[in-house]
Amino acid sequence: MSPPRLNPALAALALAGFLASLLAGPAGLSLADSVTGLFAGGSEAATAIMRDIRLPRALLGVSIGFALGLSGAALQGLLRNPMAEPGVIGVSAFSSLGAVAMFYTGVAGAAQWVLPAGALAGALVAVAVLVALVARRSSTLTLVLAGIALGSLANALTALALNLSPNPFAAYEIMFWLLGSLADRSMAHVAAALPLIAVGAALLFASARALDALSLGEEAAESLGVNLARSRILIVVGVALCVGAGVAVAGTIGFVGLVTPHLVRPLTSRLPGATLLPAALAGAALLTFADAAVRLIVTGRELNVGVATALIGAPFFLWLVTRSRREAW
Amino acid sequence: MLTVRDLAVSLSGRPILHGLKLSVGAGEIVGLVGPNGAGKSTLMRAAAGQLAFSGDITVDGRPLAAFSPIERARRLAFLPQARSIAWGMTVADCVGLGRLPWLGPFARATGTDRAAVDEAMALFDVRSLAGRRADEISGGELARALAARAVAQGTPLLIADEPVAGLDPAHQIALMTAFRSLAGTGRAIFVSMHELTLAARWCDRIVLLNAGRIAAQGAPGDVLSPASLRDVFGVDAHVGEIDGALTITPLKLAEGRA
Repeated sequence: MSPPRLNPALAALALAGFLASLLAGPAGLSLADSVTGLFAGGSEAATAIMRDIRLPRALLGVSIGFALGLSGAALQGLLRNPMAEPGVIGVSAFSSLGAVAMFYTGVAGAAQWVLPAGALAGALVAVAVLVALVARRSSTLTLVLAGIALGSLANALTALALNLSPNPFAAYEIMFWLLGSLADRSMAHVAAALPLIAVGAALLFASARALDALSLGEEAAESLGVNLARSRILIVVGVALCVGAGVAVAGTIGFVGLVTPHLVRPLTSRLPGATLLPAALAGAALLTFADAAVRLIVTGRELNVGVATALIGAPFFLWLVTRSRREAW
Repeated sequence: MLTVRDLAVSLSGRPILHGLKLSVGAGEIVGLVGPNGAGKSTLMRAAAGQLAFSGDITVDGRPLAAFSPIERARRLAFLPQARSIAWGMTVADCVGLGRLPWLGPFARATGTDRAAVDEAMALFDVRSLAGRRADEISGGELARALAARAVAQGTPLLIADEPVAGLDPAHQIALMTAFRSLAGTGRAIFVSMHELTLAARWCDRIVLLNAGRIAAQGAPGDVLSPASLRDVFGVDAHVGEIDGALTITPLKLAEGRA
């Protein structure tokens, strides 16, 4: 499919996911109730459900899915590696560590902004370390190795927090956070995440040309006028903003960033810059549909969407890997 | 076009190049030869503006450091030794990457860009591969596609690091013929290689690099003498002449060399 048709098609799919997310839920509102609740303010209950529960949830699903798909495509391009995803550079892990620290110390309940602030602070710490390292020793390999080290450190500290957890409730809260969920989020969460995702996405889209050039290797990219150090910093900060904002309001949601670039790449020219927008739109569609599905599949107790994306994503990825006989992407 | 004076480069604190002085003029092919580890790739990367150095490197009479990355990319194309390509883009898209320095932000390729890509693909005989995935063609085909990428950049100066390594004889000659026709249109070409006969036949001048210093430079016949081949490469070689061009055949390791 040519790009002029691919992007509108994926945008329509993401919109369908958004609507599915708006209409799905245990309250069993009819379509008419949903629409009047959202716009005209029908019954008080329908209005509350639509405006305070489902609308923020659907908005977050679209924007976080968009951010994760975009981050995955950008990182795969930067690292020239089809296995790259936001988890690789340690930003997701540090971000959730920041949130876990808030649970562990018990301050998470003090105010609604404490938890997102902790997650964002975690993402920023990881980015600061990465940028400092990349600025000093300028190589993509350094970035990957440092990312893996940071991720392992964050996971170890998170495990430590679980181990030493003061009470079972804190441990439960931490586990819930690590599984990722869009349930019970408010418009305040949307307002916190959206601006950060918008800035991060702008940085990543601005790097499209540099990513294309990088597919020829770092020396060739430099000879094509790419400022490598600057591009690396732009992309790492962009990913940190996108992923940090996502983790801050929804916990860790895996596999969306890894899988969506692979889903859309065969439909594009396969140049990394050309996969950015399709991967972002596919991410938005994937996450909103997954989030609608978890509300419908399991009745009684809701499945965490992070669990669902991993359950769908991991086997799918394995299938992708076995299907491609050669090492070609 | 390219002038290098008093060039010294150190990598990780180890001095690699010392006091180099050379130039490459418009319409000229200058070959860079020398043993492995002599510093050829380091010299090429420094000349392409990718390494810190002391001394002067100027392009069009302007110091290399005075160019912005984009300005530099519009005057100087660099074909690195490593032929790597990520993702399965088509050969046409791969060659098209050479036009990146000329595209405005978020602008699409224009007719000029497409013409430059088409011309470069024709020059290196990869037009028939245009729709193939660049990660599925043979090593020799990829070498030609990447050379076409560098030429599509449309720069007056081309620096190529071992572009003919791994090519069959026909494509080695075809590549050098393409470089010759580019030089005929006034481009300056600085090319490193290990194929001495090829260098002697196709280059206007040869720079012989040994242990980070220039051992000799000038016309192929003056530089590639049996004596200099013995001193620099440590081989006894037969230097002959066919149709007015040198042929150089290394025969055995020189006496006194293990």
